[in-house]
Amino acid sequence: MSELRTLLSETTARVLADSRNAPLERAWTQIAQAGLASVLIREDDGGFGGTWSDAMIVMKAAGQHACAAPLPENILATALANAAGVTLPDGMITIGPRPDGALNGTGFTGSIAGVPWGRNASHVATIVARGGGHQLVIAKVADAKITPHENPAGEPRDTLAFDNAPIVTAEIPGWDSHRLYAFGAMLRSAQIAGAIAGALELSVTYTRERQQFGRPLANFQAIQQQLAVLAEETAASDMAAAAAFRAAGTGEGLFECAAAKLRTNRAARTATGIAHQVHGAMGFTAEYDLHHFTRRLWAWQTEFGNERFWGGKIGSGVAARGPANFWADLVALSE
Amino acid sequence: MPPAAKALRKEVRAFLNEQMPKSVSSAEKARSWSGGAAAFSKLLGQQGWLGMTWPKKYGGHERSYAERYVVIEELLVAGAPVGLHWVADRQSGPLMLRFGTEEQREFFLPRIARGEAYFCIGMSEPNSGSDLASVRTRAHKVEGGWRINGQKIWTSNAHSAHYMIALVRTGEAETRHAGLTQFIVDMKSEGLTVKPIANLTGESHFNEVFFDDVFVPDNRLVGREGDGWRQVGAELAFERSGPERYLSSIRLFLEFLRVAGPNPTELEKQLIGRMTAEMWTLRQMSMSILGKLAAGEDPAVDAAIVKDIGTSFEQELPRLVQANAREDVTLETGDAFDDTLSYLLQTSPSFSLRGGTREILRGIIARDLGLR
Ligand SMILES: Cc1cc2nc3c(=O)[nH]c(=O)nc-3n(C[C@H](O)[C@H](O)[C@H](O)COP(=O)(O)OP(=O)(O)OC[C@H]3O[C@@H](n4cnc5c(N)ncnc54)[C@H](O)[C@@H]3O)c2cc1C
Repeated sequence: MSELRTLLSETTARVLADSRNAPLERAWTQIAQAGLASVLIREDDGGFGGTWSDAMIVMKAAGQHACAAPLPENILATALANAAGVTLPDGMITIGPRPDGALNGTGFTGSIAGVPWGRNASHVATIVARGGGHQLVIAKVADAKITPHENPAGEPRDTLAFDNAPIVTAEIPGWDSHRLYAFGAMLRSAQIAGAIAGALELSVTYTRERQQFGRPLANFQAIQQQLAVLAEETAASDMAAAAAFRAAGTGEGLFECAAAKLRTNRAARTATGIAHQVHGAMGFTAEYDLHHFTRRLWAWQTEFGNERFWGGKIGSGVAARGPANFWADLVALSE
Repeated sequence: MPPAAKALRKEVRAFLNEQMPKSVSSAEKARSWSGGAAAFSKLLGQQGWLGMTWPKKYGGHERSYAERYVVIEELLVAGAPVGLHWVADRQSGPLMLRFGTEEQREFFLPRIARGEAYFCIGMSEPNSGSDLASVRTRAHKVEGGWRINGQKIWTSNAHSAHYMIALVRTGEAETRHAGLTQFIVDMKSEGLTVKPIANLTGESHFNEVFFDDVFVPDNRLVGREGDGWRQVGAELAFERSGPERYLSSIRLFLEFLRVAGPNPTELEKQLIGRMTAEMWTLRQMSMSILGKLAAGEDPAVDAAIVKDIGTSFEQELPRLVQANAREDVTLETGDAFDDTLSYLLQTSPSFSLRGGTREILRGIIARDLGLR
């Protein structure tokens, strides 16, 4: 890791650990002041000037520290603003995963479901088709009618309804709402990798401390073998997410986003099962920290596409290309 | 992947296109590094695709680990018959490069790089499988060398290899890890007998090897006397992290794609998508170890992770394909799909045994986690 990256990763870990139990507003101030949301903003504009791989460091840490704020979403919003050549307003910016509505010259009418921290954010960024092209749309949350919802981890996933709301809009070349959704999947893959790492860490610590039959649980081979699998899934999800972020920095990245979400979803399923099993009843309590990871892992598997969704997408693409192209296509992705 | 690797990949594909007979069946291709052809190994040597990363003075080609990776993954995917030289190129050569004497390097490496010297791995014994440190085959010192007595088992390709790297006991005290030493044993040595063992399909790839006072000269001891355990450990990272640890079932995946056609059912799409994502992830994982191997590190834990996830995948693939194959598929017609499926159903149990079992790999990972 380069020196700058090490610094970024240490700062992120410190800030997210410090702000973990703070109320959202205060936590967000700390996060914003540390510049975590500005990792993709150019240095000239006061950001970190980082790559998508740098962004992954922050997003994975968000998962590993069970960060209860739309930090990954805000980073994605800055990337969209870069692509559209606009400057984001100040505040907490979230993402609208799948807008259902239209632009009518001056305003946006329609609704966006599943907006992370919609109620808390100042603005929501999304992509809407207009004419032959695609527009980045930035709307003020204050202009929306908010229907609150939460995912199983208690994270706000609100529906925002707009009626001819005034907006900032700009053509966003190379993007459409499908790509936005795929990048959302990539964000979640990094968070999943982080949360699995968090669950592994807890599981190792817990089984080394907890004694049964006169010795630590970690001494039992049945426990060791399960935790080894959990460690394998940690490695696999980390690698899949990292490859997607690398691809996002160099090319289109759609296949990689899909594959990373598909793989990390599978890892999440295995990991939640093992982490809970080795914790016994303690892991099933509100008091103990494990659920901060596992409830998010359950929620995130559905958000931005489950295995059926991405499996179908990849599967039809691969089948259409046929067996003769399969391998050449697969290796071309990393060349 | 560096740009040179891309050009090389093209070259390898063109070569394979020319050299792989069109008539080779899919099930035959699935054998890949379990099968072998002497002429093919020589051809690869002529291409400069064996001993690729080794110094030129030992007949190597001083190319990068990434370039070697490109060559071996293309060979495996094409189902090329690479089994004869596989072990020599993958681990015996690197072992000698790292621990061997100058004379050993000068003698063996050029022969391996030409595709003329094949090696086998003499680790397992009847009473020492997972518990490798308990091997009993013993070498005792004699004038000018050593005499080996004992038995190895499950030795793949002992019947075709020219040499074995044997792990044997030389120490007097039977302490578990100390007192083990590696020797290069000439398979034509007097007193050495190879007996094939048929596997459950009736094919014979592995063997029993008996040592009856087999003489090995002093200059065939590898590395340091008593250091065998540590040396074997270093060898295993090469053995466990390569693309052959997730690609063993790729022929069946390609057959599944062929039969599913361009407009597969929803179920088929799901499976294809899932298996593709898995292979893509495993490839990233396997390639990420290259850098560490190139830097002379010993990524034993990373390699164990790749091998366990990789072999679990290549083992699950035939089961998934069987469970979800179309209604009219039988295992009896001898068509390419059936043949490949039935071959892999029967051989896939070995994937998580050879090269260290699943349980042993997980034990290595658990130790790294601080659990043992
Ligand atoms: C196709 C094939 C090719 C091979 N080629 C070679 C070769 O070329 N050279 C060579 O030296 N060897 C070779 N082997 C042998 C291979 O390395 C061994 O099979 C392997 O190390 C396991 O040893 P074993 O078969 O004696 O099983 P055992 O060690 O008896 O194990 C049986 C089962 O018990 C489990 N087990 C054992 N110990 C423990 C433990 N402490 N905790 C939990 N579970 C445990 C194992 O994981 C396994 O599931 C080959 C094997 C196969 C199948």
